[in-house]
Amino acid sequence: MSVSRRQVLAILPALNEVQTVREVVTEVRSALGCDVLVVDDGSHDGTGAAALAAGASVIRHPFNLGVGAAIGTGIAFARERGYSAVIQIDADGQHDAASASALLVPVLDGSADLVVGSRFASGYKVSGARAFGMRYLSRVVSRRVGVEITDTTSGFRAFSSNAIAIFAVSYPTEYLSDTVEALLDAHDAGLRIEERPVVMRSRMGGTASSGRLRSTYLFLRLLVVILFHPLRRRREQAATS
Amino acid sequence: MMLEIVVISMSMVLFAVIFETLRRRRLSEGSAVLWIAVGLGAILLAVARPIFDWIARSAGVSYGPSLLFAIVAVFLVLLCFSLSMQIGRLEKRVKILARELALHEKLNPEDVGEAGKGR
Repeated sequence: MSVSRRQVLAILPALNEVQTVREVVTEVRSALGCDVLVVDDGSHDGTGAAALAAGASVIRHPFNLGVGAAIGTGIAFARERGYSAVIQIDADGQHDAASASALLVPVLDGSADLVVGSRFASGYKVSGARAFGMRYLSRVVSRRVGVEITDTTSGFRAFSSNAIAIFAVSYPTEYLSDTVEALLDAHDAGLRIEERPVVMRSRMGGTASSGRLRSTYLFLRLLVVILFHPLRRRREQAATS
Repeated sequence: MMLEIVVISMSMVLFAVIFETLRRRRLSEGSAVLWIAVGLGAILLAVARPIFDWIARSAGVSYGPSLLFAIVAVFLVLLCFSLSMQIGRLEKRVKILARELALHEKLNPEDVGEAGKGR
């Protein structure tokens, strides 16, 4: 790779991940050799201190703002410090740091601006209503962005400098809609999107989110986000008006 | 028949307001889900009036609309309660933010040093 690894920033959004964050930071640092930023999204368990001890830079939100806001903060930091690529990795150990280089390749060789790591391409399965929901999302989003995206809610992503410039201004913050909305925003901004298969592990710690009623609500909200997306004002315009 | 027309057209106005505020990003997607449900509920009640009257009678309420009033009142109370909870949370967050900002901008004589002597 021609671009120096020092120009890559790994962003790990973390909320109460003290059990795993140290290990993940160490793993990412040894696998990629890049700088690591942990955005502590208002943890109460000392996640930030553990990340700092493992050699990461840490930004702490004063209270919980959601994963989307944490990524937005991380990307704004990357923009400020002049990083030319960002890799977003979960702090709970689900993402295999070795796959991260595969996501960074298209971004670093300039062939894509936003690379999404898909767990489905590597044989991950979900069942029932969740599977139906994710397939539906995949179909709608793929049609919108003109690229086949099987794992629309994946939080394992690489961003180019173009993508950093766009998302440093405004990154979607609605919980669980942020990943999908970011894809639609990226497409609107003319960024080139690509999907690559990645290996996902079972979580090293922490708990999975959401009961059935809440999942339904989140899915409906996501539908509102997707259906209204083409009609809405750009977020940065709305913020200033 | 008149009632149905009034309710449906009011729901349409509600939908238009939801649409426009959502478009301007004044309304969050989550609140939009709630208000779209309210609009659909109103239309459903207007169109399926006989079913609603039947539900009211089997609940021991002889006059259908008064059950509707009761339901709406409960809904509004819950909504007010949830809004005041949200205001409480926002107030707490503003205090945390103000404190963190104040800590960043603290002025101590020893921090100021040579540069601050002219003050």
